Amino acid sequence: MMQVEQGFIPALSLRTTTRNGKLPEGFEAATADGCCLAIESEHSLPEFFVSEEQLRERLMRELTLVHGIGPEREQMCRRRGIQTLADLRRTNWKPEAQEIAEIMQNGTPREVIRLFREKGRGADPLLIGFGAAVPKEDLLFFDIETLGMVHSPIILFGCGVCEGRTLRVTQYLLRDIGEEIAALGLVAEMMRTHPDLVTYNGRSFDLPFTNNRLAYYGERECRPALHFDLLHTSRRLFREDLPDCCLGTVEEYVLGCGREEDLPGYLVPVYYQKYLHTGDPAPLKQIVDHNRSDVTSLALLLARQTEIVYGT
Amino acid sequence: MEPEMHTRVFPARDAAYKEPAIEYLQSRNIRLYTHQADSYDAVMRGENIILTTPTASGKTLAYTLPVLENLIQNRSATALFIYPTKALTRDQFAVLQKLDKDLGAQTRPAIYDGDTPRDARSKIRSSSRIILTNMYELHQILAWRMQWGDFWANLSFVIIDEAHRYRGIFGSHIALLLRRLRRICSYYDSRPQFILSSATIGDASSFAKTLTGLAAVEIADDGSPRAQQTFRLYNPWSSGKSSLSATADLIRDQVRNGMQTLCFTKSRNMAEITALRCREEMPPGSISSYRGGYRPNERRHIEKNLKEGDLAGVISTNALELGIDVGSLDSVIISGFPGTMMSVRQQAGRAGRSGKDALITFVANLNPLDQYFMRCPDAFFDAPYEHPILDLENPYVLRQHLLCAAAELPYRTERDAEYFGTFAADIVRSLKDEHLLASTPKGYVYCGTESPAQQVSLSGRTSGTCTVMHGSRVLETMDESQMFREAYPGAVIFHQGDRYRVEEIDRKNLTVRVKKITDNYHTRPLSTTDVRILSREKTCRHGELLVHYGSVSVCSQMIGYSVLEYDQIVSTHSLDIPPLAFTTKACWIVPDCCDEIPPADIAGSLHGAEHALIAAMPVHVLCDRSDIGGVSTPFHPDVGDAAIFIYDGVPGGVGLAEKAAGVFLDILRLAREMVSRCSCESGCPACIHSPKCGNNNQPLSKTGTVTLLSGLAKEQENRKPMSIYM
Repeated sequence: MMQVEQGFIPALSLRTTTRNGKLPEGFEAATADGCCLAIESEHSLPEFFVSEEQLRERLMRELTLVHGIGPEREQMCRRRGIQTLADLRRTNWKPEAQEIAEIMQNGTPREVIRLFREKGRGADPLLIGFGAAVPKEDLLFFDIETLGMVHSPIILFGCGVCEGRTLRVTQYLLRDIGEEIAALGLVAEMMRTHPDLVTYNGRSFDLPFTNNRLAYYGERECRPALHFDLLHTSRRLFREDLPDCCLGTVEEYVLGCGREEDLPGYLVPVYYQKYLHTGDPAPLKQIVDHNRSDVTSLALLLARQTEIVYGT
Repeated sequence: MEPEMHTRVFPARDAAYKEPAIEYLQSRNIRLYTHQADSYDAVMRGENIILTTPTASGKTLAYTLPVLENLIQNRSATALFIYPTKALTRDQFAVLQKLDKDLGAQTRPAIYDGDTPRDARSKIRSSSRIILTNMYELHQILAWRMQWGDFWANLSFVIIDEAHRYRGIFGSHIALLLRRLRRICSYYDSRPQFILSSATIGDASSFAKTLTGLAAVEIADDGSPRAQQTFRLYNPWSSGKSSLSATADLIRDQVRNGMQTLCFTKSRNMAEITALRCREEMPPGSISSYRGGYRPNERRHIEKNLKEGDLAGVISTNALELGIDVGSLDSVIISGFPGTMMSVRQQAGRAGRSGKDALITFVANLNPLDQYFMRCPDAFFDAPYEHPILDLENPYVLRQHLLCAAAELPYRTERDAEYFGTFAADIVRSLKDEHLLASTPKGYVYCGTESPAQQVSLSGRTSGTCTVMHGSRVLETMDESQMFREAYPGAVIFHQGDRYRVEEIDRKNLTVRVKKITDNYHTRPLSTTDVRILSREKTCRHGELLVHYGSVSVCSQMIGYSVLEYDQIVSTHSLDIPPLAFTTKACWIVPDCCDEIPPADIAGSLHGAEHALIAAMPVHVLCDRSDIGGVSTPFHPDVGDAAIFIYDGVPGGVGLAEKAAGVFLDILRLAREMVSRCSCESGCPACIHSPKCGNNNQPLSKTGTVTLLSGLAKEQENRKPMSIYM
């Protein structure tokens, strides 16, 4: 069952030597389908804010959204004093430019993002600005821990929401697999009240995985209003400077904070299985800590990326 | 000397038509054969059917018409067409597309299998109402309920082509996979009809019921026209020729006379060696071998060339037995009994597709069974249809599918007993104890760290696929058990007429490195097998003869290999490689008539009887010789006496030994007939020699074998078997 490389096994036993530890501190969160353990923590919320006005002004400068304008033509336009989409009204590009300008100025964030996606620029770092422009209480920083296999349960859901200048992280932990359905229900509710999702690789992993588990239990899938996947922006921003864009690598480079005592992600399934087999909750603490760091990093990373793109 | 030959001519037959009330058929002037009209009516009545008319009788049209008709009437209905191979899927896709277009059904047929590009998948799921796939893909997609929910909710038909392939251990897997599909459909309140198409088999409707879990009517009354078939049984050994040379000569003669010929051999190696012999005197490019393990484009290339007439002869394993349209062939050669009459009929059906007279030749191998057919040709021509075996309670198989089921939808013991039987509850409990399933308010949930579907090998073989590398190129693939048997250090592997010697084996990564050689030799492995009894589960009493049945552990050890040049052993080498051990089911007897045999002959008599019994088994228990193994010894520690064991070749067993225990007298009588009728003096490959004996057919005693088999069969005549369960 425990398929770890030989070299990791000593580390594994070393770290979980405390037998008969306690479950992480939390409270029972109850739903109609049962309950699970909720673990709450508060963290200071990093500053990030871009006014919507500033954001839309910046978007209006994206001449290359118009079909037929590439980087070279953009330079040419700029030399001639054409700075914004509105300025293109004096050119042959007028009809399309006007349409795009209308969306940039008055469209909803969804419409703007859709337009970028149609242009093949769905991962454009500029869009991160909406994450900083929407009401903060709509944001949900989200990260899951699994048993490592796609049709197996999610064992821990990390959800961060903004409350004033505080980031409140609520983690739903399964004390046994029977609690997954309750945790999924709580997460689905969380996504309804905080419709704008912030994740790291959540587009391909956390969200579809959660939806697959909801479908497994016959529940409706979640569709966030907006989804900011910081992995995609990280790739655009840092790919040149980094060997890979794993959250850990990006954190260290961008935030300057390495994690010293952190459990590597691939050991999460091993640790949880160990808990299931022995009933000893000691390994759970490290899983919970790891997940909490992931969630708080999401907020830090969103702030930092906004700063890089918008210079706030 | 003239070779021994028996010929039977099956006359041509005219078509029989029946007019169902289908307007568009009448308007298009399409007439249906009786069996096509019958299946149309049965499907429209809402019945599940199994169609068992012969190859080339228009089965595809028979089941596709009513399905399309239903899909036209109900614009949200969907249908799943399941084929045994990707190659056949591609072949049938073109047929379905054309029918769909002709009828304006707007079902947008699409193939969905391992080769379907990722970005095309979502669109197929949401827009195609006819999806063509295979069992392996179905096995993978059942867990993706979010993506497939709408398709399952509207699923009206499941079409299973070549259903007779799903027998034995493979069939047991498929039977449980189909129960998983039905369980998911039932969750979405859909109750699809099942339409099976199959080679002619005995008691087809009960086979269909076991395979799908639903009652089905058999449609067997063939109305299609038949060309005249000349079927010959040819014994090259009677004129001192080997089957290999005779087959190669026959292919060459027929090809020279302008007859496009398809030859079926019993093994991968034989297909290669036969092709090699044929090529010796033929223009290059006119003869090809064909078998599993080739790269897909290599296979497609051969299929295409055969269909377009660019290849005059193809020597194939049973890989070409399926309904892949390779066009009309003038002649089929069956080199060696393929293990079932079902296969014989399927292979023979490949000839005369175009309506021309067809010539089919069975070339007897030098093994007791093939030689028996030469002595009694009526037993060949009038052989009864076989009954495929499925075992829904095989704990190895059931356990794997219960894990998959629980990962697809929470498993509820009471509700799901309908699909997996009451026996499943115990297994589910033990899986919970192993922490692979967790009990939750919604039912049992899978909580392992590996994908359960990927842990299962549907074809029942050991799960890994081994890659044979020549330099940096993938030469071919084989499964793990083939790797154990064929890819030992020093072994020669044939590929399209070239010889490669195994240089390096990486068991961890399942890779074999080979080097091309030009030497003119091949190799044959030598192995020993030990059997230990784990538990005795029942005993069948046939008069005085007791046949025991139970669990055993079988341990095979490759001890060495022989190097052969032109079928002559020139040297023997020893090997030191890890053994292959597994637990399976066996039946065994403890003969008490050894007193009549001289002590020096006892081992040889037991060994001869074991070979003869195994050779006789495929006739009475549907299996290939290679599905069963045997061990005999004058003293077995677990019974404290002489014993003969016959065991199932796959882990967990598939009911072969169990069935053999029940019909042991029939097997015994056939074995006695085969040996006592043989005119040889001291045993020959026609009676007690086995073509795949691990001990080079030593020791053997023919007179002792006759005494032993007669002694066992005597006194047991006309008695009903009685079973005593432990």
